[in-house]
Amino acid sequence: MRRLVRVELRRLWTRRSVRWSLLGVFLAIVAAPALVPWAFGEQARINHDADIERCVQDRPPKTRDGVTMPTIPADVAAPAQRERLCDEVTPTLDPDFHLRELDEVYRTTAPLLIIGGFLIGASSIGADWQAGVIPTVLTWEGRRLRVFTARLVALVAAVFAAVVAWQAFLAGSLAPYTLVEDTTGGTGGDWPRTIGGLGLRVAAIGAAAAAFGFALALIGRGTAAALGAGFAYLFVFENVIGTQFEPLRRWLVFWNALVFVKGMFEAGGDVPDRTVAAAAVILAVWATVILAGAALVFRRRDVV
Amino acid sequence: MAVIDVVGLRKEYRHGRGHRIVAVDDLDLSVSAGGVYGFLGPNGSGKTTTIRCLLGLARPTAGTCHVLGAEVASDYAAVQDRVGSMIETQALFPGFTGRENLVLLAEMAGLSGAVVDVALDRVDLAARAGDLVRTYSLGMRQRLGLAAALVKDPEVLILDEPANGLDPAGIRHVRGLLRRLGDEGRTVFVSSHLLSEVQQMCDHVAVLSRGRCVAAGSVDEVMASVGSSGVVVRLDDVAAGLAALEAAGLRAWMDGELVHVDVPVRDSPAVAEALARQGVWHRELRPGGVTLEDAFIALTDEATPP
Repeated sequence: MRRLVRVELRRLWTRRSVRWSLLGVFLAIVAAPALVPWAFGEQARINHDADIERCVQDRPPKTRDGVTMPTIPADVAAPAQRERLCDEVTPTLDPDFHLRELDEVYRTTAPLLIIGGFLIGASSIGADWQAGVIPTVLTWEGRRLRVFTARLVALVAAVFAAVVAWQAFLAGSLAPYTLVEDTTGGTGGDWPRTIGGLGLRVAAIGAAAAAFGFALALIGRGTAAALGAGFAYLFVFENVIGTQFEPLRRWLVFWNALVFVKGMFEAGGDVPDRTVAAAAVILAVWATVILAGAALVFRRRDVV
Repeated sequence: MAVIDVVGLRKEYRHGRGHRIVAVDDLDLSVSAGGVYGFLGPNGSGKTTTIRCLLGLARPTAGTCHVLGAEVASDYAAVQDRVGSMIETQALFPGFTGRENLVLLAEMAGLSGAVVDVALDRVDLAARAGDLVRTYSLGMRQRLGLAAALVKDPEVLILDEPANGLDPAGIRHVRGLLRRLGDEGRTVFVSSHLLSEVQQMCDHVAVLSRGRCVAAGSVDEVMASVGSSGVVVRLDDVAAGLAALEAAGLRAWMDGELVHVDVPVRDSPAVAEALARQGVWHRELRPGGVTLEDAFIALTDEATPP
């Protein structure tokens, strides 16, 4: 089995989709020290404008970083003066990127990593179906469950390691900026454990996405089939079901993945009362069912 | 003991609601150890399906396939290291070089890289082994597929159209290689459309038509099954020749300006000897009218399509 996993890892490494993804990741890491602070500054400006607008229209105030933004009651000033007054009373938000905000970066980039994991998982087997390589492999190792397991293990391990590495390199590329700008405060105490936990959860969900893509491409015998089925199910079916019937969210992949990545219970949020551990269990059950189905299909179906 | 033993093989494919296509129907096949066994049949006759069943890629609807004594459906893994195979144009990883492809496959079987060089040499591909497979011509891919089949130094080779896409020199090279492999004591089971090649290369053949085996046996037997094959002799003195052949116990008759002798082609020397004993010298001696192609067409009704 170890031999097969080693072969699969080598093969995975040569895939063009993997190499292009790695190139993209490398470029993102290089650009991060410029891109991330710019994005945070831009977000601060957008939030500030929104707070002023909220103040002008006397809508319910918003709390940012523990500070409730001021509003001016409608009868206090004439409409013409409100904008100037709100501009004066609304505090300017800190536009700098702080290292303690790394979790924001991880959460923002998580969807890309998850989709990337799904694509690599699907193409890792889908491309081999298209190229007709699967029959060749099976004439060398006829025990199909061994082939299935070796490929899955290699894929999941590779994607998990790649996401962890990406996050580590990203943190490494942003740290010098925060040192220069002296924005490293708030990173003591529980922060390393919290950020580490988030990173591992994102890596786990990325690896799970790869496994889902792999299973769908194995059943559909092609990358396109997996992408079509995966995206239609997640972003159409689950989205509609989850929006129309909120109580069902707690059993669906997408919503549990949201809870798992966010790593917190938000009152009235995505799935009320769903804990991270429970979300992990639900996702594990989904993964087990889909992978078991794919293994069964792969074991029994003719290879042509 | 038969190296390849197929009993009552039936394979159906479902197409749409309730519609079934029978690819192979009640096929019996027994291939003895050593030599080259040709597996012939027109397109869609079930050759590739049979080969897929023999390699465990397709599950028989009914019947059994045994290779080297192991039932393929349940126990193929026990013998897979002793079987080399190639299915149509072998699909290999295009992003690897030819050599890397074979090394990867060898690693899967726990073999060292040294066996790869031997296999590449045997198919005359060593010089291009360092190039990416995606740059290979069809013929080179065929040879690489053949090399992949040889990496395990197998006792049995199951090859589906190995000469497909090769130029005449390549076809000749493959013919010689397969013949040598057969002479080494390996069992080479090869499907092919190139009937003249099969006639020169194979010891035994089976002919498949519409999923059923319509003839099996030695090449001469199969040719004889559709009519006399025999040999044709051109003589200056036809009457003396006929008398000489009759004296030797050979059935012969005049066929225009020629004399047709009813013996298997492989017994041609006996004809020449019988004539020589009586002082009759032939000007020409060649196989008779029925070729394997004639037999094939007669057996598979290719000459009169519906």
